Amino acid sequence: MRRILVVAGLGVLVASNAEAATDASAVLDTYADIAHAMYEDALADARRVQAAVEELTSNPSDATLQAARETWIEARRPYQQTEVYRFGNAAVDDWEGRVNAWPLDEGLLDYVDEAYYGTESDENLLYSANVIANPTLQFGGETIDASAITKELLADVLQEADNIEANVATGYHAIEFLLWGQDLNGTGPGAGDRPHTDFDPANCTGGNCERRVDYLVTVTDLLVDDLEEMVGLWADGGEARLAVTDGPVEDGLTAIVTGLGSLSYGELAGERMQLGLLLHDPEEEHDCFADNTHESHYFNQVGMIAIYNANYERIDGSVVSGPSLSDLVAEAEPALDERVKADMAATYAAMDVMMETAQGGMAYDQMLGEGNDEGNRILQDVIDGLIVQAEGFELVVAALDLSLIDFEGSDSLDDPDAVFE
Amino acid sequence: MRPDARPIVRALLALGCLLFAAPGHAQPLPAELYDRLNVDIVRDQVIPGYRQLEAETAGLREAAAAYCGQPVDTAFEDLIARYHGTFDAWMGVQWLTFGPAKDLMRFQRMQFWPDSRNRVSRQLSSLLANPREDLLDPDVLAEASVALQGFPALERLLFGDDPLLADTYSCALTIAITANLATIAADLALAWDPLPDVPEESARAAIDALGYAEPAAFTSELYQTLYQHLEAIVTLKLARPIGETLEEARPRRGESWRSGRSVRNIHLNLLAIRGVIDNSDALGFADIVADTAGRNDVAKALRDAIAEAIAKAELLDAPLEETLVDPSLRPDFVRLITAANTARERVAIGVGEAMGLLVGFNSLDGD
Repeated sequence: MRRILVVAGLGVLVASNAEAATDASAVLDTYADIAHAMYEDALADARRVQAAVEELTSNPSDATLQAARETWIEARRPYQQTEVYRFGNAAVDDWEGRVNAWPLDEGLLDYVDEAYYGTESDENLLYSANVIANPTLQFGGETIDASAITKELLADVLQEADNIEANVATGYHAIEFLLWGQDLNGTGPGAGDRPHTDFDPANCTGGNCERRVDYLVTVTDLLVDDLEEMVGLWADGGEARLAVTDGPVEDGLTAIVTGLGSLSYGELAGERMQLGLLLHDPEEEHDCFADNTHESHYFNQVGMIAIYNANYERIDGSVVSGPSLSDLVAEAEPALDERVKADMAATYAAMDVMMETAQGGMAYDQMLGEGNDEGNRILQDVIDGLIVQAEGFELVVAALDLSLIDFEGSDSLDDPDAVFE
Repeated sequence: MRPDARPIVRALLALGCLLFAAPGHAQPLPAELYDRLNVDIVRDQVIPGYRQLEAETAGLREAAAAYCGQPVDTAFEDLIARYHGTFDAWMGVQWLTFGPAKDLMRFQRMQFWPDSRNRVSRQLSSLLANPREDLLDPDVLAEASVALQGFPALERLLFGDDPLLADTYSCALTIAITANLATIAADLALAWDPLPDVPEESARAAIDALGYAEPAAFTSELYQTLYQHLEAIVTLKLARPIGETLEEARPRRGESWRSGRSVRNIHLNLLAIRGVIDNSDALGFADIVADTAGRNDVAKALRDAIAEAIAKAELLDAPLEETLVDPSLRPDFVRLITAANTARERVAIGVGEAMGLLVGFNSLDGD
């Protein structure tokens, strides 16, 4: 289902800014250039994970497992910065679930601690299916042949099986679960602690080590494939780039603001952060197996600041920059640009406190624990910052005379008879 | 012809990612008019809704204490009836997610839903297996996970597979949860109705206390909240459980499936929405659209859409577990989705354009 956007431009931005210094189409070119650079960086780091997984599975040891985990943590840094492209760019949104779907019912993939995880769910018939242990899966009236662990099995059959989003078979978090295992420490200290022998058929722990190795190698290869595809979509002539640069300028600018606002508000402040605080539940953290959530959120904010200012520092230290959304806002309404920058800096500062607290020994899942007033406050400050930041982006929509109406599926919806056909 | 749920369900499940915005279509209305609309809606809809909830939760708390003290069948029946009465009242104010409902996480503490990760069941079973005496103190419960505090946990205790027995931790927890609900409801009523003897002044004082810079900002908040409620009805309460085909129906994704009142909830939500749109003799959104913005056509289309959705909801009274898998009932459910979605679109586009209001980033934007 492709999202259809009908954007009604109310002010003709380019015309009304004829005397302005910033060329809006150059803003869009830079936005696409940064996307390309960010996904290239994410891909380069994913290839390092792939190499480390190769090393782990051919030579399983504490050291090779630890090295693989470290490359995964490093690979999250560039990827999380790309998330600001998710909302507003259909090509990214359609693809994103394959690489970063969360949260997951990890019992689909491998063994879990039943006392901690439970055994069944109202929502998900495959809650405890454990494909690594079971070459055949049965649910409802269906049977899945999982005897060979292939890219097709993971991507086309298991991923979102039974239309359940929590059936996550691919992407960073599936890899994370395999590298770390469940974090059974609740809101106490400690991350997942899977032994390296889970990947050692000769001294196998956890059972089914060969299938686990197959799974880890396959899912890592898929991540590399998926990131290669996204790099291509933002390269010259790529679909995602053209969607931004070759349409009406208002559409492209709207995509930028939508990405910033939706990531700040509904996704990060809401789904990923407030919910965890409401539930005081250690599973409600985005990188829950690795205890890496603080970095995951922090680099979202780094990415948002890079996009607003059109200034991205790559993993090799070089910089991609150019005309920015900030420049356009500053020309339309200087005070608003100052406000947005100040809001983003304030959120960044709150994120920094969260980072330092985590590095100081209080992990994210401890910060959200019941009765941890100090930790709760630190997370709430980040959430409040993100909400204020999102309000600023709503004002940017108005200041740039953008207007956006989501008519998705409207043909059938406006005409009730259409659904009777 | 039989309606096929597939296209509409696909479209609706993908909804909710972007902002509707229609700034500048209409001239701003005079501040006095926004002010009049705000006060009228709070006085005639919001305050009575919360006062009703306050009274119902107080009765529910008494019924829980009575049953757990003397667990006879009639007392259990009374408790169940009180549960339904209280939830009916909650459906009348469920759309109000901002202000006092947001403060102290009151909304989520009343009802944590949807619960796509099964948190309520997981946390409640874990608690019942390892009872925590401290949570029986409503003040302590009020600080605990929202999954344990509100209606969803209570519904599992009252309508779950295990009968609720006196002298059990479950019964004591039931009392604590109902007491917590009563406290939250009383706080909400007080926040919206600080001067109960003088309704007009009370409504104004409640609005002033929320600190909006100008009347239009409060109107905009009401409007956005109303729209998001309609979106939640369409996407979460209707499209999620129905599934694209009969085989893919998942009634347990519906709200309140355990107590068998999923469609009743929607019916009551729609009646509350109609109250804000029409507001009987006082000002509602449709009056402004028709009389001030001069868009009688938009106002009529809106009223028709709400009335149509209400009429469709009235037709369905069976539990979702029957409705969604019964080939003779399922088409009516699809018609209800279509009607509710039309109402959603008319609020978003028609009212937004006529009144120069915009729907902002949405809390449903997340995954």
